[in-house]
Amino acid sequence: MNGLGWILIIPALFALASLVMPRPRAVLWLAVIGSFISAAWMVVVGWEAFDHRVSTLRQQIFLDALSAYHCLIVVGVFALASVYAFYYFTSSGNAHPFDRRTARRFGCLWFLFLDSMILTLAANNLGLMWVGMEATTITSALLVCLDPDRPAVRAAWTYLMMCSVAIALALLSVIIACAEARIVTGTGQSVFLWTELCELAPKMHSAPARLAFVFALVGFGTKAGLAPMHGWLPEAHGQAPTPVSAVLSGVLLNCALYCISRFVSIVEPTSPGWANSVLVPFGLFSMAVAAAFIAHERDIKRLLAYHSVEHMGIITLGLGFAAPGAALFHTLNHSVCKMLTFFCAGALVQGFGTRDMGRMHRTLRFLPLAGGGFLAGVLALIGAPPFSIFMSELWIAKAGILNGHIPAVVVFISIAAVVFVCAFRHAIEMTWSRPDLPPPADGTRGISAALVLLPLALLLVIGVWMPEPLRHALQQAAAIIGEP
Amino acid sequence: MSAYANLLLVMLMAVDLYMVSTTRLDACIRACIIQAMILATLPFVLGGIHPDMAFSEQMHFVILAGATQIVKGVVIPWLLFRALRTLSSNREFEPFMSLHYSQLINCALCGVGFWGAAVLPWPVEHPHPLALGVALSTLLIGLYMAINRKKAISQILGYLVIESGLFVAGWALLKQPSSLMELGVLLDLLVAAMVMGILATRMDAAADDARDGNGGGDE
Repeated sequence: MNGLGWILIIPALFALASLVMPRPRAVLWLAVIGSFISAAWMVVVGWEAFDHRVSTLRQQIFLDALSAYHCLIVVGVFALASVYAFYYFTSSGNAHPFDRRTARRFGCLWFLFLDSMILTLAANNLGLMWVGMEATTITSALLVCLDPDRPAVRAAWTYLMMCSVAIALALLSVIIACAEARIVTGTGQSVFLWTELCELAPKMHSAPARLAFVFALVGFGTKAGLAPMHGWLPEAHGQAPTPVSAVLSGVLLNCALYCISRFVSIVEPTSPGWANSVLVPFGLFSMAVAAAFIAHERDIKRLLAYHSVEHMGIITLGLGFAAPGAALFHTLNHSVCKMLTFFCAGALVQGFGTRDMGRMHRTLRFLPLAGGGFLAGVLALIGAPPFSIFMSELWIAKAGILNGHIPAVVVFISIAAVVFVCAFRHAIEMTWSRPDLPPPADGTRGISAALVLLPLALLLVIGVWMPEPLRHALQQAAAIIGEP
Repeated sequence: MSAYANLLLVMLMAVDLYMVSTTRLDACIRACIIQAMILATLPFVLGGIHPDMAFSEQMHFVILAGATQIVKGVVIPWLLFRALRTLSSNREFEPFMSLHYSQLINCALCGVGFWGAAVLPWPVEHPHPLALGVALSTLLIGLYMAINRKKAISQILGYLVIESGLFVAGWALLKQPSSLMELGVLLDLLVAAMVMGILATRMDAAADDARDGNGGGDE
């Protein structure tokens, strides 16, 4: 086993270590240290993967450009979310005490969640990928109900049940794809690896490949929060502790879309353009449903959850417009931005003691860091220039026009405009209005400047200038999905 | 071999229908045990096992069958029985749809399952006449069970039936699943059932408390 295996072993070791930590603070420190070590190791291993594929354990685990790209986003978001978790759980604004038992459970599940996501992304064996995906559901459902009050347990139950059933359907798609590949080989040899499947894809029959894709879209699409299968998402994001919400929204949804994009690369050679024609309506419908809810939502965390549905729709649209490069760029932007907005929203919720946006007011004055960060984050999220989400949305729209999806692009821009207006109205009301309400009672800061400024700077920089390594990574990763 | 396979598959369907038509949770869990025994035997008659296979490959079948039996037939039912004991004495569950309508709906679902098995483009060279139909019907009946029940713990049974359907589909289509995949799926199923058991106990206990607090007026 080479260094690649350690990307799975390091988080597992830290998960075990979390169980024997003496104090809650020690667990939180361990979470920070462990996720930074995981991130550093992933950078070392993943860098190589952009030039050539690396694999271990008889090819069962691998990293190619696509999985390395997603893995790097995962570990990056986890590292910052671990730092935020420190501020979140040590703040005095929490409803539930963060005692030793809760802390140990949090630390163990946190690393197991990270591990299961890396397993999903780095598995070459489709069965292992499925196992990883189901493991993400189990670990994150337990994280959602870390505070054992009734709404949280109910949210976790809905999430666990909906996603487990959906992922069971996704297993059917894995079975169908492997069975078709087995027939194509002609030797009765079993085929379970992505790398072999991609080589065999051009020889497959189109009908079974399409059947597999449909099951994958429904199964993994539920996990990605695509409408109309998004029912679990707002509840789970709303009830989870905020660092968990940030990770759920920032990277878990990406993992599900990653699986769908793998299936795109299998179905595309057998029936060119067919997968795109299925993905475009799904993407637009998700955006439309999200826009309708964003307009009327009062709960700040549920608002961000619906933004996730919208952005998953946009990424799906990018895949459907045959612009995987743009979709991947948007994935990065959305992850960074959603992480930032959840951090700030969490600090605002703790500061004002409510999730109701109607009762948060003059945030810029009372909580300048969190309030300012949230305003800037929402501006970035709804696609205001010069932030990078504007650039990636522009890129997706351009690809849509070039590939002849003009009506879809018109709908896309209209919905994006509606979301812009509605979300901006919420942000303005929170930031400046209602001077007659009393100020928040508690003066907790709840967040550090670095956690706000670092993601914001990243969004600004890649909005105006794309660094060469990022361009290279996007090109290599997009080539695997099938950039024309 | 084919006659045995037919017999087992028909038994599997019968267990499915029994589970839908009973309201007693402990009876449902016992039915799950019978289903697991059928599933553990199925690979020998449905999979590609034959006498001139290498010993190690034959052992592969035996190990998978044993693991299936232990996980689905022993550990998960034990967990469910334990969860049931911690709840109040109410072992009945209330379905949303009455049992008579459920039977009708399930007949329709079986029809849809077999129709789907016949018309959809499944990647299989020598299709077994019953296997895919039974797999899809079981999957649909499992979905119906998960939706139609109020108590959280009885929804878990629906999820387990869905997984059984997938298990049959896997053997019908793949013939020789990789042991890594099969064992991984079983492990996931086990942990999922465990976590679902914990959450369901909490939810149902809260629901029972709420009902007792209201004086149980709706009973």
